Parts: sequence; C-alpha cells; structure tokens
Amino acid sequence: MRRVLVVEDEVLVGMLVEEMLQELGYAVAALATHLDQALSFARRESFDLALLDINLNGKQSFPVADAVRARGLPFLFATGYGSRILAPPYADAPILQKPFSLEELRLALERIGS
Amino acid sequence: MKDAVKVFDMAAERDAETLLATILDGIGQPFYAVDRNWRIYLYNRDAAQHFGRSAEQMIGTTVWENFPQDVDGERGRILHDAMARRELVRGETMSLVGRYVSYVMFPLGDGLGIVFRDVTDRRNAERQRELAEEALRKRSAELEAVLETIPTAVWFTTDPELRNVVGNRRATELLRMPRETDLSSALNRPDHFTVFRDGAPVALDDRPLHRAARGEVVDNELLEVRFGDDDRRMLLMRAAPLRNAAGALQGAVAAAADVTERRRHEDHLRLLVNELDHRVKNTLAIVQSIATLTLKDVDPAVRMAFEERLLTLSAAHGLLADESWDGAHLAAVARASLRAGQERIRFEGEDLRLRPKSAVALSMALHELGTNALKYGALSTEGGMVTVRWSTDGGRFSLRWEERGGPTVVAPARRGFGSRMIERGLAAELRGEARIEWRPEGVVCTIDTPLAAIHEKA
Repeated sequence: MRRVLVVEDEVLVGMLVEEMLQELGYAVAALATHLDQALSFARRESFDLALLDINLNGKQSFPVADAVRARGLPFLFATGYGSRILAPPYADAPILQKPFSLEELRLALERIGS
Repeated sequence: MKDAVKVFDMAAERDAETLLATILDGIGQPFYAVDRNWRIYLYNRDAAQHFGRSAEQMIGTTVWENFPQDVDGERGRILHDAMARRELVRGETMSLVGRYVSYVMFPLGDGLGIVFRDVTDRRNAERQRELAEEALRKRSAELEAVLETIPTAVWFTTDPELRNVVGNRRATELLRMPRETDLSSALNRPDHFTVFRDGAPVALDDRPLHRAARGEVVDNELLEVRFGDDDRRMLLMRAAPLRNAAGALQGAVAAAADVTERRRHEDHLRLLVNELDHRVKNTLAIVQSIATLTLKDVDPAVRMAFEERLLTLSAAHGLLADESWDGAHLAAVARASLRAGQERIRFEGEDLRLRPKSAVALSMALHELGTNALKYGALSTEGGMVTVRWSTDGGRFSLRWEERGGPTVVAPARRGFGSRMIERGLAAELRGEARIEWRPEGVVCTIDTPLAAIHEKA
C-alpha cells in the first residue's frame, strides 16, 4: 500500500483527506499541520508521495516541496488559492483545487503517477 | 485781332481746364483742393466716389459746410494744422465719411491740396490679423497653463529624429530631471533610467514618442521606468504622430500618466480577493469535511449529493475569484457546473458575462439539472443528449434545457430539492420565471428573465 505524507493545517480537512486516501487504497504515513513539522517529516519519514496544502498558517509549504523533490518523490499541491499562486520552479506543478471530491483526488494522484 | 487773341485765350483756358481735369482724374486717388477760406475749387472723380457727392455739389462750397461735425474734431484739427504749417503733412486717419485713409496734405496756392488713399481694407485686414494673433496668444497661454497644471506628462517633438523635444513641467518631474533639461538629449541618451515593457527592456526607438514620430499611433501602453535607486514608476502611455494639412509627418506627441499608485492599489485589492477566496474555499473544505465525517453512516447517495452541490458552489466561486468577483462568463459557468457527461451536452448561445450572484444561481441550477439527467434522464442512457440553448433577444435572457433520447420521463410525485431550488429560488434570484416540464420524451427546463437582472453590462 502506497504511503502518503499529508500536510494540511486544517485538522478537519486533514481528517477528511485521510479518509479519502484510505478509500482510494492509500495509507497515510503522517499528517503535518505546521511547516516545521512538515519539513521534519518530509526529510525523515518514510513515504511514497506527498499531498501539500500550500498555505500553512500563513507560511507557504514550498520548502517542504523542495525537500520532497530532493528525495525524488512525487507530490501534489492542494490549495484554495487557484493555480496562479504557483511561481517558478513550481509554476507547472500539479495542483488540486480545494474543496475536492474523491474522484478529483483519485485523478490527481493518477496524474502524478501514483 | 484783339478778339482773335481773346478767342485764343479762351480756347487755351478750356484746354488747360480739360488737361487739369484729366490729370486729376488720372491720378487714381481722391484729391481735392481748398483755398485759404476752405472753399473747394478742385475735386476729382475719385473724391466724388469716396465722398458720395459730385463735383457740381462740392465745387464752390466750404469743407465745413459739407462736414460741419468735423470743425472741432480730429480731422478738423489735422486740416487746420496743415493749413497753418504750410508744409507737407502725411498721416492716417478716419476720413470725413468714416473710412480709414492715408493722406498727404500740401500747400497749394494760398490753400491746401489733399490727396488720400482709402486703406480701410488694409486696416481691417491688419485688425483681423491682430485679433487672430491675440486669440492665438491667448489660446497658447491657456494651453500652456493647462499643460503646466495637468498631472500628465507630455512631450512634443517637431522632427522624426527627436532632435527637438519639449515637454511640460510634469514631463521633467516624472523623469526626475531639472525643468531646464534638454529633453532631446535626455530622451535619446537616458543615463539615469531604463524603460521596460512586460519585464523586458524597451529599445530606444521602440518607445512611444519615437514610434509616433515614425507615424504610429500608440494607445494605452503600460511601461515601467526603473531609476538607479531602484524606484519604479508604472506609466500608462499614449502617443500620436503630428501631421500637417497635407498629411506629412511633422513630429509627434506623447503623454504619460503615472499609474504606479493605482496599480499598487489594484494589486492590493487582487491580493485581498485572493485571500478571501482562499478563506472561502478553506471554509467550504471544512464544511465538506464536517458533513462527510458527520454523515458517515448516512446513505452515501445523500452524502454525495451534498458534496456535489458544495463542490459546484466552490467551482462557481473559483470562476468569480479569477475575475476578482467582477462577473463570470456563462459558457464557463455552464461547463464548470456540468462536469459529468459533458461530451453529450451541446451548448448553443453567444457568450455573455453574468453578474456574480446570477453566476452562482445559474451554476447551482444547471448542476441540479445535470445531476437529474445523469441519474434518471437523458444522460443516464448511452444515446441521450442534452441541449442547453440561450439567447438575449429583446432585453430578455432565455435559457432552455432540453433532454432527448433518454428513458421515458415520469413526473415525480413530489418536488425534490433541485426542482424547488430552480422554480422558486432561481426564479426569485433572477427576477424572472423558471419552469420544469417533465415531458415523456425528455425534461425541458426554461428560464426567462430580464437581461438586466443577470447581465453585467445590461
């Protein structure tokens, strides 16, 4: 079962995402709600891919994306900001608009090869 | 013999008179002569024409008999002065009949000879020219005052190479130059600023005034001027060639408004709208989570219906946020609301911009129709089709949802959420009518509203 690092500062949304991932056959490796915690998990935890909320209590999660990318692992951004928030080097990174359905999550995970 | 001499003398006298009359009429200018008592004794044809009185009327009468009002006037003074001085006098004055004349008065016998020329037309032309010059000076002063006062920078050039460039006070202020700066050098060899368009440097001859000087009209071009100290100003520029009556290029004019603060304000507003949108989306995601986690043991179809409505609402918000909540296009709203089975939905109608509230209301209505079609209607079977057709004729907005090729439709026993939302909620929101017909061959929904109620520009 593929393991997902979930970074989401809204606990309730994080819980829903956990349920959705499980329903799609994934396991949640860790759920981080703060940037520091997310960075620590991204560098040390064992996981296969990451789902990253962009705004974490006012801080952007791009350093977490850098850490995931440095390990050669795929990731998917989730945000309520719209795709225009992404700037190089993440301008073309996969992004999922919040709120999203189970089907939209499934398709987005498929697109990043997971 | 004595009689013969007399006859000869009389003939000679007649000849002399004829000769004098011929000479006087031949000089082509009014002439008359008076004796020391102002009695007129010579008076030519041009004088008769000028004064409107014949020689027969005038010869033997005095000037003052004919023009008594002038005895004490300026003309009277000039005549008396010339008579007293006994020397040639020249000048210009208003004549006895109200025309401007250039005169020469000279002693003739014991009186005066007066020859003059009507210069009224020349004086009028000069006056007209003076008035025109005065009006031009006034207009130039007004324009100069306007140019110096307006907050817009203006540059003029009188040649295509920009060898001669002048600008108003704002033009030098904006480029941080002293008022007396030679603008031609400053624009052709700028040393303290650079110009960018969309982040890329703009070559000298690609700048608005240079292009206009080559004949191009530049309309609302946004340029960024970067100074050495990192200050940046955003300029909205216009430029146009100046041509003479024959259409030949004579130079160019360029104007620039400093829109830096306005742009900052717009950026700030955009940021606020983005933040608001983000918070709305996050809140919707939280509502979705609460509902899904709370209704875990409820019928999955009910959970799904709730979630789909929430996601449709979110999609409509997303479209509006992309346009800073200024409105959204109907075609985009329709496509965002009907995500499933879209390949079998035909959209027909000219795109139009919707007001934000109308966009959300229509989005929810189309979602309900689409969900019903997918579950029970034309999109539930392979051959079914839906046509969504709209028009904006006669100030009305009409939309028709028509299903074909699906299973035979049976009207529901009671109105569900979707039907009530469309027939009551949507109709009220759009200040019009919305009706769903459960026809056996397919559901038809018609929406008819005043265009002004939904259209952003109506």
